[in-house]
Amino acid sequence: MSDGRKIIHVDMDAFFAAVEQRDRPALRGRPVVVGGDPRGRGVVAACSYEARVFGIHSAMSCARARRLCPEAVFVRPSREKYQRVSAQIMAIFFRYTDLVEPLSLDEAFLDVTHNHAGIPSATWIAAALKKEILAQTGLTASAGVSCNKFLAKVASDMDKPDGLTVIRPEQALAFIHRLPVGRFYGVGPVTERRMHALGIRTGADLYRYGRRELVASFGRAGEFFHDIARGIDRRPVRPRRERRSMGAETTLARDTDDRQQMMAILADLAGRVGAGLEQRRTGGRTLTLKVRYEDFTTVSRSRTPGTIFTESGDIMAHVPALLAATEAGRRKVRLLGITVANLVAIPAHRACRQLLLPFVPLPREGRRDGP
Amino acid sequence: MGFHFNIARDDLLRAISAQQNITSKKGTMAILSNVLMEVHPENITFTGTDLEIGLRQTVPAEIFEQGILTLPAKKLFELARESSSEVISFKEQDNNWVEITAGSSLYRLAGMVSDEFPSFPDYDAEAMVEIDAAIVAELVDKTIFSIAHDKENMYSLTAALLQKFEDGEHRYLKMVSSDGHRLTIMSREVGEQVDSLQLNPVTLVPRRGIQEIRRFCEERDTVSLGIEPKQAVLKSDDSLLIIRLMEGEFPDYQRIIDSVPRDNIITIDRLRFLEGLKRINLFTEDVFHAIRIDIDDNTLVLTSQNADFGSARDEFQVSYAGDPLSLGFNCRYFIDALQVMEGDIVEASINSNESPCLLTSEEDEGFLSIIMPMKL
Repeated sequence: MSDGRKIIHVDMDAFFAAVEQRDRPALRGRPVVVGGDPRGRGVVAACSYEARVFGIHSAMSCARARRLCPEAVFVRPSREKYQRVSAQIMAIFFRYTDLVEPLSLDEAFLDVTHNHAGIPSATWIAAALKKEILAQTGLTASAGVSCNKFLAKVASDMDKPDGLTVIRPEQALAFIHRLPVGRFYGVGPVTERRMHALGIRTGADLYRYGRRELVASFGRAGEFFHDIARGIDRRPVRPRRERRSMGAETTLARDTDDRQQMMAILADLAGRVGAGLEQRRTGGRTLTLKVRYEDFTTVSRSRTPGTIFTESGDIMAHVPALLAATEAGRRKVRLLGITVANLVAIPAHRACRQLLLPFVPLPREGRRDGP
Repeated sequence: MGFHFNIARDDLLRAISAQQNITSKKGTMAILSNVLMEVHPENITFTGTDLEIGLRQTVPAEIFEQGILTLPAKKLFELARESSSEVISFKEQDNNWVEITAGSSLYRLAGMVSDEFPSFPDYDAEAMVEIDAAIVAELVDKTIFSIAHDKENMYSLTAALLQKFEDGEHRYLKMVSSDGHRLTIMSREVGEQVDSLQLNPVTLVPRRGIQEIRRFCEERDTVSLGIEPKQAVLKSDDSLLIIRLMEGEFPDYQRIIDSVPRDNIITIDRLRFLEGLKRINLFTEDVFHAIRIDIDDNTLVLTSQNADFGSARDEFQVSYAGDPLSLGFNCRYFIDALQVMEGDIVEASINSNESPCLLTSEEDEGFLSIIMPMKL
């Protein structure tokens, strides 16, 4: 079951909110919600532990958060600051190992089986990491230590905040069997409901199902569920996660049915995605447009035209047709997104790019018929 | 029972080969892959349409019985093409079957009743002007290659823009096309009869319509042209072509032309340039056909590279006094433009490897081509 690896999962405690509380002492000890305007349409990006007591959690609408806790302090996120702090934390990780897989700004896996310091105890390293993070950033983190990613992540979540939990290989099965399936990696609300319908509520229930039955019910994910119910997770820690796609999306300030306004927003998103592609010298084969209507139903429309999307012009050339394939305009839209996927590196000799004629957007009137 | 007539094989072949370009192959409506045959006392009218383009032709025939029926255009075309007899005989049978006799061959072809065939659009015969077919053909030939192929770009770029303008006493018709990477313009002087030609604020003729207009001008000296709000009409003695126009805006191309400074000019032997490009194109990569053009001190060097095969280089003398230039281009774009252009000498105005390149020739006054470079 164990292949002798030592994996640490480090998860910062209420990261965005903690950074704000650190920088603004007046916020300490108070319920802090980082996110959009509570009078507007934003969602909670993070909230302090004081806020969680009221039932506030991330991804909840800010308006709802305010109803739950009117005295909460709402703070707009300052991403650049979080990125700076995150870079500090990641630098600490890299002092111990090169096998660092960041999952987001505030979370990472480390494989410390072979570490730079030659320290045999992963638990010792985890404690050292927590101490250094606190010393350098003034923030607390929770760490989980185990023999694979799944268990390490479960462990880091066991004793938040400021926790350090170790799951030894011999304890793993007992841990997993007690664990509600909703806490398993890859089990979202939908899968959870389907598992409940099959009577699978805990790891122990999952353990009783055979590989074939799980594959029949959950497809390829079933294989994975079968393995992790037995404490087996061979996923390696990938130092630099390969990008699978490049995308950008935005919630509109106001729901709209004005297609021209949508096109302007999409042009902006395409510009952002195109800049990202150019910067990384990649292109993608598939373009996807995401539209969320005012009632929150979300549709996406994709195209794989056989050419490669390398810049915003390539993207915008297809956007009108994709948008036309949705009900945007007939229905009001609240969110728009553009993603380019199936990324491919552009070899140097293919990197040539045909420039577009600098057509300016047309004025409604005033065209001329000059020679 | 139904129609009965004899028709010259060549007349049938000519009419039906034009029809089978137009009749729909996609089979959205079965009847649209058929051609409507209306047999009158003196002649036959053939009508075909895909709802975007409609063609009606009158063909002489020896009529025994009048009638009306639709027959599959493609089969009829193949049948006429393979036939060696001079005369082909059509006789309608029960249940819309038609017996066709061509020399020793006898065919039975299933027709469809004409009820569902779309009615042919009306048009305003008064608003039409007569025009030299060669002029229309030239406008098309010199711009058709840069009409956008699909709807990837701005939708309206899949059509050509038709305009007219006056310059002193002279009147001109102008056609403009662009695929977003290049822009081509052709203007031709026309007679004062075009004064009564009413164009729309934006007259956009879709690519397929342009192709049909070109075919229509074949083997004809003059055609009558009419532009109505929703359709373009072309007419000759025996044929009538109606094309549904595209709605939309066309980009302000004049601003781009005006933005190209005309003070850094390379003067090039057109045919020498074209030859060199065709050779160098043998070693370009597919799709982009990227080539490099280096110009320094009256010498122009073309180079291309292909990852699978190797590389090519060509060099010749030009007249150029400006700073050295190193440019990337899609080779095909230059070939397309230089091929239709007339004259021995072409002038290329270009300032940098990111700005538009403008091609003109004093010997081909109405022609102008703009090609955007490629970043290599």
